[in-house]
Amino acid sequence: MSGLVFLQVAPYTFRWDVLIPYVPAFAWGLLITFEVSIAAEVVGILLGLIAALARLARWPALRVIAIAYIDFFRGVPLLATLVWLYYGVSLLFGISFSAFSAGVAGLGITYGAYLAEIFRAGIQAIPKGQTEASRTLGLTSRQIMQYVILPQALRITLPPIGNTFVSMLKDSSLIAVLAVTDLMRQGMIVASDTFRAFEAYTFVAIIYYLVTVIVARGLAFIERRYAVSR
Amino acid sequence: MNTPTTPADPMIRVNKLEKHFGHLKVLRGISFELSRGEVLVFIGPSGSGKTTLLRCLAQLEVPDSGEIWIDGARFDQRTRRSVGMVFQQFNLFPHLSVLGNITLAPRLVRGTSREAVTAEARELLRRVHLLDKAGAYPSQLSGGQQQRVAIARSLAMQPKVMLFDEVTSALDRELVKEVLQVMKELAEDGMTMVVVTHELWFARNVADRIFFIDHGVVVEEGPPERIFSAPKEERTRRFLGDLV
Repeated sequence: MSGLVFLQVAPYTFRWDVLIPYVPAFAWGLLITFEVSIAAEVVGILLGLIAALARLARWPALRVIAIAYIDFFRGVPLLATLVWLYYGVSLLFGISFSAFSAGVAGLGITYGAYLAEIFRAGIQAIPKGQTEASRTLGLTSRQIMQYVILPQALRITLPPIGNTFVSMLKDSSLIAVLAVTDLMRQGMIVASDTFRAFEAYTFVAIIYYLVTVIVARGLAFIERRYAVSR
Repeated sequence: MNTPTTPADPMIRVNKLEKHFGHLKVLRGISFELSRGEVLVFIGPSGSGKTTLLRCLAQLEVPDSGEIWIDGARFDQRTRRSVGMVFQQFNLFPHLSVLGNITLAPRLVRGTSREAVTAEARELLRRVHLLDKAGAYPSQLSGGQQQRVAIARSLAMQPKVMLFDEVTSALDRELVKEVLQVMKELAEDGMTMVVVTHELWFARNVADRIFFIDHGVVVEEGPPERIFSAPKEERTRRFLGDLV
């Protein structure tokens, strides 16, 4: 009666029970995910802060270097950076470092580029009057940055920094391609072990989802507490 | 450069100060001298160059030409500390307590110990009648209180000259008086002050001399009694007429 052809699809039966033996492996993977994310976030914050200060420096060469760094790592896909760092650097320089280090470095360097812009916006949001008052009190440029501008700028950049950490938890899954046994990599291993890829990846996705939601809510809570107690 | 100073030297000597922003000439050759302990009040319409003049004295602007001498020394980076400034918008550090605001610069710049600096800060807070607010944060204070903290913060660097740039303009009417009172007491204690204000009460009662400036030049100067009762220049008369 119509030209439609219906594919005969067998109803899929989920077999969640096959995952049970792998729960410790998933837990271990989640721990690695956190380790990588926290380490990379710390690297990113340090690089971002340095790049932001360089971006605002009086010396033009510093500004150029900072802008080049920010543009480059925001423009190159994270996956490309990770693979290039892990395989390329050892080929070029003959130094090999662990997949874990390469992952942390790649994530940290890339996130540093984004964090630099967050810090820069925070620093520039502090009213000029703060700098002028500090100058008339005799503070040097470095002292003004350290004791007047940065403490205020860091406070207002805290929420966006928290957001980058939530993204980091998910983006860290890319280091699975370097064979770091994080949560994602465990999902890949379980999928090939059990031939139950759908269950394995669904389970991994749910864990990523829950973890990011919990972390985001936790950060929002800290933010509110911090805002109230100034 | 560092000629020894004698009490006879003027505290401030400004010689042919000029400053322009782009094509706009804001200061067109301003000269004056101010003795130790004298209070000079600048009045004039907005855009007349009063604020720019103060900002040059505070080294927040670099004059295009002219000279500034403070206490017999050519004003440069090293002598910056001898001039304190209070701003219209207070510019207190919001992340520091009142005590923190006052002690930050003395600790960093003068290198005084925390104990000594805190004792000094308490004494300054007593002078501006805010001793009970030492632990408060700027956001917890009224505008008048914030401005008095700003005055104390500036005094903590032991300046030889204090500059006040329309310090009551952002305040509610009823808070203006407490700030002017503190400034009056400061003047009575012998501080050399340069004040830009629209508060004629202050100009009349505290100033030793009044300068009326317009379009970047000093139109008329003299003691307050004369400026207010018998201004010589038509422009001064018109300006005061508009104010009263």
